[in-house]
Amino acid sequence: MKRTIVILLVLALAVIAAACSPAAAPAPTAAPPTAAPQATTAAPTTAPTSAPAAKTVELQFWHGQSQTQEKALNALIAKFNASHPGIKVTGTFQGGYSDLYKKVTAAIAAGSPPDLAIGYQNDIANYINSDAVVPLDDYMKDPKIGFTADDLKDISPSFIDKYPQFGNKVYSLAFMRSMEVMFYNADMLKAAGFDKPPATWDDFMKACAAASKPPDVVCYEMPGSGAASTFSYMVWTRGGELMSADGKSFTFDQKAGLDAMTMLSDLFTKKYAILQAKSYQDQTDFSLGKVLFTFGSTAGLPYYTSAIKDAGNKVKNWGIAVPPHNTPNPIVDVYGPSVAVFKTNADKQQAAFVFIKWLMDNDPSAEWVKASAYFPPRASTKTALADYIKANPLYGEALGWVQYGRVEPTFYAAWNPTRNFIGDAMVAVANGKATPEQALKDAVQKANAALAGK
Amino acid sequence: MAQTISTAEPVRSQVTARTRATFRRRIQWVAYLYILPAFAIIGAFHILPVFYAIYISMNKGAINKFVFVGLDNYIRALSGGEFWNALVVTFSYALMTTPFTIALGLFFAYLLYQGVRGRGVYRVIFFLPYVISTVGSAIVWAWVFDPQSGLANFILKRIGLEPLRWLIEPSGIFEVIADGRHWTIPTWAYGPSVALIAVSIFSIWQSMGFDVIIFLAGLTNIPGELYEAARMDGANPLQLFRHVTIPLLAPTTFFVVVISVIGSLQSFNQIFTMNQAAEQSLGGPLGSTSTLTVYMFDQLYTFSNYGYASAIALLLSLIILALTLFQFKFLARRTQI
Amino acid sequence: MAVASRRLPTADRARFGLGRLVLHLMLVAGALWAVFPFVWMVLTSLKGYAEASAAETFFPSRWLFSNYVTAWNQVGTFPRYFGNTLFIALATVLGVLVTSTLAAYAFARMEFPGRDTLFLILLATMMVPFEVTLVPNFIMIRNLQWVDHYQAMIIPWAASAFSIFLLRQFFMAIPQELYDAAVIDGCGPLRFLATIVLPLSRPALVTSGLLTFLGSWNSLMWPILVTNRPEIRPIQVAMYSFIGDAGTQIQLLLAAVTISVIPVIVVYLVLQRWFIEGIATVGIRG
Repeated sequence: MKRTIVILLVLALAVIAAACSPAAAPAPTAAPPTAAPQATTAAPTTAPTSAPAAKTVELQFWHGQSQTQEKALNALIAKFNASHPGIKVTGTFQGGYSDLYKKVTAAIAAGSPPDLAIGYQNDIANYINSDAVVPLDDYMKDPKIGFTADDLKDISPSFIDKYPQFGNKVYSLAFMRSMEVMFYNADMLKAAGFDKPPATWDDFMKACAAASKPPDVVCYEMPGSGAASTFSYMVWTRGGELMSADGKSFTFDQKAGLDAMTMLSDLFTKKYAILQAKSYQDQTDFSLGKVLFTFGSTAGLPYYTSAIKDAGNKVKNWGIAVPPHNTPNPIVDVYGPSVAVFKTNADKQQAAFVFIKWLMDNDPSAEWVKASAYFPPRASTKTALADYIKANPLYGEALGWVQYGRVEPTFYAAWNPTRNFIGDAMVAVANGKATPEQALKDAVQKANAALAGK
Repeated sequence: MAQTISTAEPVRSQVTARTRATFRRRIQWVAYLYILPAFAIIGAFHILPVFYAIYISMNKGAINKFVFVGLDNYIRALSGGEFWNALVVTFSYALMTTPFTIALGLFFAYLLYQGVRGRGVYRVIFFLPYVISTVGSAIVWAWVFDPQSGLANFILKRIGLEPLRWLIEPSGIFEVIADGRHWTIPTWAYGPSVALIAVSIFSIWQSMGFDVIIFLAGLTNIPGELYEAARMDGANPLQLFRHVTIPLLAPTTFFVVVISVIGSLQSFNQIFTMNQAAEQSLGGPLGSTSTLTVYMFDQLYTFSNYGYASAIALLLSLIILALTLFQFKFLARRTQI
Repeated sequence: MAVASRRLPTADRARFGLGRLVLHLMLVAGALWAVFPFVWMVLTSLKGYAEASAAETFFPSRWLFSNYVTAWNQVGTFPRYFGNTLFIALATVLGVLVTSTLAAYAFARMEFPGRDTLFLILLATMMVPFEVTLVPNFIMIRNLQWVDHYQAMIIPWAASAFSIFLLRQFFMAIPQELYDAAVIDGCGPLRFLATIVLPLSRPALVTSGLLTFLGSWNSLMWPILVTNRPEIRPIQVAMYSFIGDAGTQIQLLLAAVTISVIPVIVVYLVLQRWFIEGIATVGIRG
């Protein structure tokens, strides 16, 4: 590095201080700069990823956790390294999940992927397509380092990612999940004559009709990019499915999907709903008592709490509930990023699995929950969280709903664009640019094309 | 050493002398050494990658698992509607930003060039928009365009106009105006979406400072005695601007025009961050801000269609290249550059 | 030996007499348009979370200067980030100025086969979107073993078609007579470049340096791509760490943005002396 700078400096000085001798040959001055880039090539540099130490297996772990979460994660990593002498994990923040995806993709192309990386399942599906990650089934079954039968009973299935397009193998595991819940303003509900949050979508519409006073108070604010997750459980809770059972086509344009989209259309034509024009505007408006219901991630709970408190507690009584459902049992959308293990060598891959499995254990999970407000993989972690739940009753309430969890078809790479198609369909309906039928037909057509790899 | 600029010389001949090409000299082979450092770096990091992109554009499939498909990606782009829609959005956006940015940039640079009091402060202020990272300013502008509490609608209401939904309005501007008056207009006359106009306003705000800086540098390079000479000939301020500033600023103006056209045709950051700050999907609402670069980005990272995305990028580059060649051929000649 | 005055003479200022008020009004209007979002940003950075995100008031109801302390502490390593960014930006500027000056001079004032074609190739590199060059550039950096080293963030940007084009335009405007005189004096092209072209082109050099500095200061994706060690990463990484996946503390983000802008403004204030005032007189010495 120093050499590069020195060369540049010398060059700069040479140019600026060119002496005044008649017919001075400029050649020597002009030549060095070409040498600059090459000179540094030769300079002794150590590639951080390739340090084959004697016994210790070194692992690069790329994540998107920043600030408080990064500190907590680093503390966990330090604990792991201390308790596992043969393994040394280094965690690195690589920007948000989309930056992380770019970086991993470039690294795969360059043949230098990390050993582990956090990512959404549809991103991991792309890594599988590139043949860059390894299935974890064998490690999971391994009698020495794998999961026991009791472990698998304890861990919620939504934390173990099976990819249907790739032989239903497990390519990623999760140590955190959040879920989408309904936030409601209890005072406004009461004033409108309801003493508890709506249990069915009909009740939801009734509450909207009674409580909305547009334009000051509305029932629902939809993100301007649409809300594919919200739409997903609007379909599920009407007994519908997003995809056919064989995973060959999308089916969200059938009756349940159409009913959901028609309800959305009603919400907008009756002016019970508005579109958001700023990120997290629904959170803000909720804290100001301008919106009755919002649908959002439980990871947003600390933001809601702080916004409401900061706004001078205009909203006195509020809570969270499972989204309305016409099905007998509630259904909540459980989501979150997972960790994948990249193809390196047998030792590294195994050590990487050991690390993820450790993150899913009770103690690390409990630590992680406290820093992130996510849900832990194991039901038994609840015991270790007793104090935290006492301090955060809403979190405790939501933890009980993990059993109702379902996951979106995120294991298909096509789900990422499909979320956009659904979002656009919702926005088109909200703007009166398309009927629910047209919008859904269009979205399903595009989604199926993406699924077919077009 | 002889004095080279004679104040007595008429302005016009000065202009010609100063901008004449260097055709009088013999071939200087040493020039290759002069351009070598720049070309070594640009070659490695900006030219080589283009060949990689050309290779990728003839493939499909996941990274490291490419399948050769020849010109399929190009055919797909040129035969599908999405590419052409994005092209229309791209040119609308360029037409709504570049002329204003350049005109305002020149206007304010010229004002600042006059020895006004406090010009130091002004120069900082005009440059500020370009300094603040887009993450920060996008948040501010999402608020300006907020349909309920935003500044833009506050101003519209004050001057007696209907408020707009700005960044979340996918309808064309003329469509919105016609709707408000219960007129019916044909689809082709809808015009660019209100959302695209909002992003353009943000873009003009951000890029103006950049143009001001470059024009200021250009103005400063004009020798003061040329003004002096012209004034002796009895020129008024307007004539000074017309006959001294405009011709002598021509190389700078040409530069700004070429750079702005290139920049606006591949504009991405401003649209991307505004979309995000306004909680819109990329290129939203409903694709109405989806320029070619945005479309390419979406294909690259949402669809993971590396080959197709590279083909779009290269087609865009060809379009820009053609336009730039055109500018060099016609504008450069007319301004004697 | 005469001196070429390059400032609008003072006589001219009086000439504008009546138009003075109009001129000022227009400048004030333009300045308001340019500065208003910045003022709003700073004011928002002093609000509480709810007030900042609701954006319904202009002035904070409570002035929370503590946001700056919080933002500073949350990032934790602001000084380190500043140091890195400053080093990377200055090194890049130096590289750009050296490579661009030489190349621009050749393109503006020298005659050589393929000149126009090479210049066009140079310009064409500006037309390819950054995103499609990301992967091949990363592969290049990795093959050079520059990952996690400062040069990965400097060298690829140490030459710029933009700056070459800008400087070429300015160099072309320098009178041919100056060159002829220099040749008679026995000066080679390099000396002519160093002693006559460069001083005359100071505004262009400062502009080019300033814009390079800013580009380097505000870049994010590239540094994240080519580094893993937080110790060598630049300031923008800190900005992005405020954006959460379930909410953004925008008052803290904006406080961090404001903090990050301050050094740039200082640099600009320092440079601006060179920008216009410094060029009042440019002597041509023998």
